[in-house]
Amino acid sequence: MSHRFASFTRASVLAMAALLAGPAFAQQEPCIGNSGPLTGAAAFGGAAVKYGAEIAIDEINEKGGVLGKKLRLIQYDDAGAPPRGVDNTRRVAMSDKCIAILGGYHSTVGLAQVDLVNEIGIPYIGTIAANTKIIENEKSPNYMFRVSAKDKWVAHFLVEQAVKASKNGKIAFIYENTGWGNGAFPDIKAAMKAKGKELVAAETFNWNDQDMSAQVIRIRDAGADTLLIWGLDREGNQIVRSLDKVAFKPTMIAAWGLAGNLGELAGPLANGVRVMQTFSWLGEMDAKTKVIWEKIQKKHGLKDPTELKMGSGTANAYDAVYILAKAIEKAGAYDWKKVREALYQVEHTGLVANYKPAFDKADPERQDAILPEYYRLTAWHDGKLLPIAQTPYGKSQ
Amino acid sequence: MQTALQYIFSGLAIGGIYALVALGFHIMWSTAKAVNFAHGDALMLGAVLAIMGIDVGLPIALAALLAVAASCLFGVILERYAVRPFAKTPTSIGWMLTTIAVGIMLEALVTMQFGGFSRPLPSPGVDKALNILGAGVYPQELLIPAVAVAVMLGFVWMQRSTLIGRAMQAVAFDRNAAALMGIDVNRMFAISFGLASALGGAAGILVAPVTQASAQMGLILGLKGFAVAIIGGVTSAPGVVIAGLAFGIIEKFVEGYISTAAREIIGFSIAILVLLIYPQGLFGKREVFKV
Amino acid sequence: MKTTDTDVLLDVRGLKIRYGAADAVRGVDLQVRRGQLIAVIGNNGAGKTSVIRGISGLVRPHAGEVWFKGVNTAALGAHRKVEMGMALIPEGRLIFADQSVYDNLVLGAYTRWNRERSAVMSEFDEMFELFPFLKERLHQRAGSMSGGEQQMLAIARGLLSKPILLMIDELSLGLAPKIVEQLMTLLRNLNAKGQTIVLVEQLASHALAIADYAYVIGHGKVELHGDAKTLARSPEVMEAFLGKKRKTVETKNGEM
Repeated sequence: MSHRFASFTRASVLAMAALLAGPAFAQQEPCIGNSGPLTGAAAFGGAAVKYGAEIAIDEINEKGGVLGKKLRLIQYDDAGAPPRGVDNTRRVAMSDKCIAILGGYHSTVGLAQVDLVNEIGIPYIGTIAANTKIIENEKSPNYMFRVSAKDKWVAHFLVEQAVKASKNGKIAFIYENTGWGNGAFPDIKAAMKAKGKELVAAETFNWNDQDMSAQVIRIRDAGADTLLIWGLDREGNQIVRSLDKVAFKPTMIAAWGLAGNLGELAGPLANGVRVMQTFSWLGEMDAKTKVIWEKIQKKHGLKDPTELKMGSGTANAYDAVYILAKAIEKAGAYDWKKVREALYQVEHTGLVANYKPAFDKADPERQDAILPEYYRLTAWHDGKLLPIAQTPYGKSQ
Repeated sequence: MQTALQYIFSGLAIGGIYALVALGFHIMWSTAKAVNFAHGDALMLGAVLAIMGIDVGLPIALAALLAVAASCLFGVILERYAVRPFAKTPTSIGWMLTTIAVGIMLEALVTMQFGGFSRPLPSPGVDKALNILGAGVYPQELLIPAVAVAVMLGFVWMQRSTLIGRAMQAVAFDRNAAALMGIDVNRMFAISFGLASALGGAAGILVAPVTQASAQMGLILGLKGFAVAIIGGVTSAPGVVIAGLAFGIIEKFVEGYISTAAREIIGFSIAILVLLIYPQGLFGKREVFKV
Repeated sequence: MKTTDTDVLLDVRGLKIRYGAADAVRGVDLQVRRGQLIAVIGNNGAGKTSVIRGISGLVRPHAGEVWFKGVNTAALGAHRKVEMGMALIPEGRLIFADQSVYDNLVLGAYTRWNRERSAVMSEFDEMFELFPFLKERLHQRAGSMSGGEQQMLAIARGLLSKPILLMIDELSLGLAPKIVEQLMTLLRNLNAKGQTIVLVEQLASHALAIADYAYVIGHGKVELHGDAKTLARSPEVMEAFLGKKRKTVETKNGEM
């Protein structure tokens, strides 16, 4: 009797273990999911990631795919809404059973995805959303990876550029009153502190504000000659116009929210505004970049690279897919856990950077693949956002 | 002094936009006792269609004209299918929901066609800032409140001195009594909505060079414009314009002397306070609804 | 006694009006000849106001025909009927209280204001002769006038559309007896000059006194109709509406 009972118990325990451990043994599909804004105000951001990811997948499939299977991209729209991003993640992992999910444009969505991604245990590779805590989220094991900028490092980069550019050492900061902007403020303050300095003014604005004269008056009166901007093109335009109205023109250095159509909106007032990017498709392209550009151009009927808004995202996504593909090869299986482990062993020469390696298991900061030394400074000039060396402002670099 | 002047100019500019939106609500309410909650979208349509017209090569005047005509049509169709069936009695409120729904659908549709970016509408009025006593302002920004006042005066004149203006007042007062005068009440509804939407489209074109055009531009403007209409008294054209300009200036002063964050808090707190004391708005008249 | 023209201006057949589940009018036949003054009397709630609202188009008849100028107008809206020449001065007058006396008069002439301006302006003068106080109060807010003045404004307004058929619903409501007398005389004079009138009125005696022909409405139907003077002398009408009671036998307990 006890013998039968014991074997029954053993069998039940084994069965339960199998059930609970089920997903970990299942084979995933050769698809890569993506939740991004395909509609809404940031639709250009969703498109940017899609363009880059698609070309990389096409190239990889032309060479036979990964582990003998052709990859495909499954694209979902979150319109910038965090609940939808979470829903899409669930769909990608549980319904489509994809091997990984790419990140989208909005940091708020990325932050919302952290818990679910780690709960399910599907590798996430960010492509644009740069909030620090998306990646440095204190989860262990951490399934959130990123091939994009990190706000903490961007803040340091901007401050570094500001210190270089400023003549009187007085630097001000103006940022949008959102999760993205508010998240950057402490990073900027910390970066200033690390350089032994303090901001002389810190101002905020809301989306759709059309006049920042109050804020820029206070910044001007504080004596700043350099202004860091953390916002989007639409408000960036109003900022430079407000500056024009009060006849004050500091050196302006911005995060990549001003990498869209600021030149079109503000015209000559945008000239000289510096913007951080991980990549630029404008100006002179090297041979490798040219090949990829031509593929994008052909596939989507674009006329010239100025139509690639948020081009950094395109390059990031392109590199992200290649890194992922290499990880799957190393893992030898379409298996979430194995691919995650394999990601730490990938080395890759990409569009944006040389990833040697892409990620470092020992350092939670290093779930981000692109190091700050690869950040670039571009500047608006006559409606184009060019690498700064190709503009009249290149001397300050 | 110079700073305060800067805030006054900036305040007049944004206040003028609120006033124009609020006037649209007034025109609709003053005839139909119902409004299009998506009225902000009339501005959006005017601005967006004008830009799309320029994109396909139309001269700006023609693009603007067609955009205004399209906005007018939007108002008329909306009234016929989303308001009239839901506003059968003076106390019906189904039109609130239907017009909000239409607004959301329209924004989604326009985003698909227009894209998500804000785009500029070129105008000589925003090329160079004027310097008046040390404060900077774009000529277009001063034009907006001036137009708001002009439209208000024009509408008041129309109400008082033309047959159709009197008829609109009659319809608002009592639909049956108006019908007994031979007034086609449904046509009056259509006219008031068409007029308000056409005005909205024109306002959008006037305002877009300053604010940029986007598929979402109608949302906040519509909301604030509606709040201003309520504060000023939706039954009074001068009331909503004064409320709009004052609200804009107050917003700017709060932003200037307190903080940006305080702006919305204080702004809407004032609105609530005004309504507690004057439920019909500052300049409105008490409405008696016949049940 | 004026000559009655044999022209039938208004021919109502089988009019039925329903409010929700309640039948207010259950089949009314009514005819109006050119030049007549028709009285429509009946108890409160009998349906006479509903009849007139159905004829004028304020309410859509559930069934029946309303022939006017050779057209069945039952399905037409009120404003169309005004254009055709049918005017109703409604119960409660419904003047535009927030607008001026002048505005109200202009609105009365709404259907003719643009095309017949000079004719309308001279008719304004006629109205001022008929009701001098209108001229005095021309730019005053209409709602600030007394009930009697408002009723006169409503009549002036009604006449300004140059109606072929003028209908008036409950003229006397809320008015002092002296004013009612004046207005009844006014109506008789208008009729003498050729205006066809239908008067729905709860003061039966007054209405019958000036009318040519009368309809008695009860329970949503026409209970009686005929020459107004004859009807006024009929026992039923006298008892029901004119307050003249039949003699009754005193019972032991003193009940009447």
